[in-house]
Amino acid sequence: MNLINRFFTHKLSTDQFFVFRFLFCASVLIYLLMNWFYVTGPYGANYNPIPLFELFSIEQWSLGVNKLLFVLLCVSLCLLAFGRVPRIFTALSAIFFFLFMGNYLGSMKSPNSNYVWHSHNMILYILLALNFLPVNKVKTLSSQSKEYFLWELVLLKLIVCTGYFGSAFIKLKTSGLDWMDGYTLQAYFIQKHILTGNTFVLNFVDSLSLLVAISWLTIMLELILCFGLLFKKTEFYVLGLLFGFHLMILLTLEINFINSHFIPISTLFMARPILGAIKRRLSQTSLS
Amino acid sequence: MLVFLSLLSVFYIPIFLEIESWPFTDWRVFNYSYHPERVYVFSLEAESGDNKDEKFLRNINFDPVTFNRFSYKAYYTKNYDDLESYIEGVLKGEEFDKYLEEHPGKLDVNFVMISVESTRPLKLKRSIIKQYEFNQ
Repeated sequence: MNLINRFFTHKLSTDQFFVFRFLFCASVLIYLLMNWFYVTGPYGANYNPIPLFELFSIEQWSLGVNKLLFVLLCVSLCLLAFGRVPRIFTALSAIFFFLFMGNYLGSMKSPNSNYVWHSHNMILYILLALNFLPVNKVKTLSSQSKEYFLWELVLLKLIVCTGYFGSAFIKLKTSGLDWMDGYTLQAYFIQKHILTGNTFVLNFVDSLSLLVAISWLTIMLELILCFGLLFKKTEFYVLGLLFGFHLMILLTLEINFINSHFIPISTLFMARPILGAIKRRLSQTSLS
Repeated sequence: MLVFLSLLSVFYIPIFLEIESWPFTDWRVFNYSYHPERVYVFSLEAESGDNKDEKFLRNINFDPVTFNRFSYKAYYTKNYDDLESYIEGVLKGEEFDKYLEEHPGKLDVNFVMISVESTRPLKLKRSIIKQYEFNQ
């Protein structure tokens, strides 16, 4: 009981949260600005509204409106990064991101399935969660303030884990242990080689035992090891493993989760060391 | 505690309920078990004289993944008319006209099914399903 009580009352420095929010918004903003196709991509191609758009009868808007939405999203993220009226701009960023990315995903969706590409889920998850966190009222860096509850940090970390845990859970539910028999990865790699001419995958297709090991490591990392992100002692090891995992996905299956997913979520873990480095630098400057 | 548990439920329960709706549980990427014996990839490849162009689709600026996705589905659901009109659409574009100009003389475009013959070493098998002839 004492432990639970401590979990919900223990406070951390709000600076750590401020730095995380700044870095998170900045990484999403830079990613969006570097990928203009999100704005123009949904036009001129097949468009099949995502299920939530269908549910709320949201129809595709014009390219001009989409450009305006993009600008509003960028401005909103920018203001949130600097802590301007955080409650309002968190809500606006979440709504704009949902509309903007939902529209784009309509151009990626098959008419025969409800499934849509998931690499941007985590950004929306974090933005949605921020709306409900008491700490998200902080407007400036203030080393005196300690309004950041431990449970808020743990909750954000647990949300990050959903992406990995959900992925492993669905794999196991759909395919069971067959997913780790080595042949599954072998087939995916060969298919990728035929389709795109990727030669990196050829380093693995010969060795079934290596493929079995990679498959097991993938499932273990997604299902269990990712929860190592919750603990201070293991978070950076797990973050390193996850980076390696995403790099392998990029090199073999040619799916880039690093810019769209991994960098924004890693700001949650990088905020503390970055803040420490800034403070050290500032104290050295003031001493000299 | 209420906020913590509520948000946790919002994000974790849809995983177990498998609600397929962005942004909640679209985790189905490479989730099904597979086997090299079941790898069948459909593609278009060009042939003029002794020259074979296995990257024909990319050379006419067409995404091979999209082509395979559509052809695979149409072939196995026996939608041969749809498949035919899809391939004809690919071979009518501006990019293909440019390709024809760059490759004067007889040109065959083969609709092929690529499968795996052996994995050690990797050996692929190409079966021509249909041939389209140009510049006769």
